[in-house]
Amino acid sequence: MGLLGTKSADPATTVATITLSTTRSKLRRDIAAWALVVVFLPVSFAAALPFFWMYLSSFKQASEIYSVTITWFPSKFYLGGYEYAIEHFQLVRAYSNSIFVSAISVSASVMTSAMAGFLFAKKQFWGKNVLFVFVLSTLMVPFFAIFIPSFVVYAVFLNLKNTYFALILPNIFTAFGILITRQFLHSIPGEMIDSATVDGAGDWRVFWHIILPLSKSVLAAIAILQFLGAFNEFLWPLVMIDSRDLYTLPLALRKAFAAQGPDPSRLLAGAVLSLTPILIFFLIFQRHIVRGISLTGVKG
Amino acid sequence: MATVARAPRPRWRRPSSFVLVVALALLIYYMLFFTAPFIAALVIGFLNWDLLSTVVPVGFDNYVAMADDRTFKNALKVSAIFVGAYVPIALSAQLILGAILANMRTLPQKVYLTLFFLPVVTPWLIAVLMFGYLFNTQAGLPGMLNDIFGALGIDTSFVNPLGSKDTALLGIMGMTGWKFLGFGALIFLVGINEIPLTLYEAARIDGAGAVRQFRHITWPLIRPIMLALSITSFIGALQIFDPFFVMTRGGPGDATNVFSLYLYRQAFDQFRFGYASAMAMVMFLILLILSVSQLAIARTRWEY
Repeated sequence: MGLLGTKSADPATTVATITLSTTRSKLRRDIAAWALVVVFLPVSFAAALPFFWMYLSSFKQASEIYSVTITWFPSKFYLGGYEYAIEHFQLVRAYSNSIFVSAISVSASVMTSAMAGFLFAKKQFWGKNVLFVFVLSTLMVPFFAIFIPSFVVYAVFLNLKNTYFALILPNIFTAFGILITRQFLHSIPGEMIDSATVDGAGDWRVFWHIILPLSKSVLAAIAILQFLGAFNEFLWPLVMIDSRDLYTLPLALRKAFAAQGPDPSRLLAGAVLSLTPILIFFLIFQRHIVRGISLTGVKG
Repeated sequence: MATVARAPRPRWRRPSSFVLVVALALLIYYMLFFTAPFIAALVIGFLNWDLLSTVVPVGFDNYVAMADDRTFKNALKVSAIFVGAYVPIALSAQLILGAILANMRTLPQKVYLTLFFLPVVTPWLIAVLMFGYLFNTQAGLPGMLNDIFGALGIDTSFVNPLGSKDTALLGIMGMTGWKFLGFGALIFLVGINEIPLTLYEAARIDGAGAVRQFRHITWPLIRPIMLALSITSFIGALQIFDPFFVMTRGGPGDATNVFSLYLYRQAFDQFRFGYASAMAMVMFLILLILSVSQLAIARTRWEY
């Protein structure tokens, strides 16, 4: 405020005033920033509360979970829930299925995203814009709009019920991945590609030796986001898979919940066993997620 | 006609095999697994079909039946309440959280973001399990709150929100908000971080406080993100299925029998695939109108 008020003609004084006021306000802002962190602590604690509760309660006996006096930490470390969950929920099988399906879906969609991204960012061909708008438009149509006929096509016409392929096929091309890769490749200069083309390299070689290595970081971001999405998918596997051997993790969990016994620690233990690898995966790769979101360039 | 100098047409060149293969693969894939099912949905909507017996074309009967179907109208209402209340509240909370995180130093920002992102990566089924117990009158939060208030001498009787027709939808809404808070906040955070710092410095020198900085710098620059997130949130929220299917199963009564759940049940419990397809078309139309009108409002109000 004072700065504009003082009509000082002397530039030296002005500079001094600015420096002084910025150091002081910097200190103030530092304090404000840390105060925010402290004030915010209970809020974030509330967000994490269900997790704490689940991990702790998975070691409790039913009587303690439902006891009138609420306890946080288990009074007696009970492992019965874990024993039961490991023995009966077939989580390893479900986990393997989920990882298998997600890994193949992600590998395919990362590859096709890179190819289509290259196509839309750097290549000229007849009908390019129409094709791009077509691909984009798929993002705006809700899954439910094509849900029923897709089921009919997969289950009746292609006879793919109870196959891994039914879960992989819908993820081979993903408009989202194509969009991000295209945006990324747009921003890199064309000279590198041009010089390679002059040297006689065809598009396939340019793609393989230049585009693919260049877009590694974007593709990693897409891969993580897609993996989590594919891993947690529920509705589509629900209608495509009946056979217990092919159950993905969400389906196996649903089965376990449906056969809910008297002992909640079993379910909680099963959930802990299922969730922990996902959370570890997330913690390891989370910077890619942040990157992926920045790359969607929500600027529009 | 006056001859106008035209830019020379790009000479037709034979596309390389890469262009040909990728473009064709894209076209065929999306035609096969996207356009075709979409057209099929439109067609199946005019049929009476249980996948087993013969197909009976019924014209607009399925659409007419919707107008008389009280459960459908209820589902429409429940979904409208859910989406209409959830999206604005969730977006505001996400924006506020994003703005708060943007004002933190790097380390706490990272820690908090990680915490708020945990629910995003948690499968719905596990979230449902956690909240199933957290909402439990005896084992969870309601009992805890009653105890706390009881100790303060206030008699309260909080109960499981999912047990009552009036609060069940609210319970799921809270859960959904919890699950996606970190996701929206991250998107807003990234957007806010892209705003040049010099704008804020200039505002500060002009004496603008935090609120005015938000109002006059952050908000106008964040609006495109808000628009994009709002459109995708409407599309996403109307299609939320897992918690309704696993947790409340539409109940109590039909209090949480949302559009997506009712559609699923018509197809896979009642085998009325024609009717379900017609409902899917209605859902598509609703979302299309919502998206287009949001874009139109944004265009007239925000672009000068």
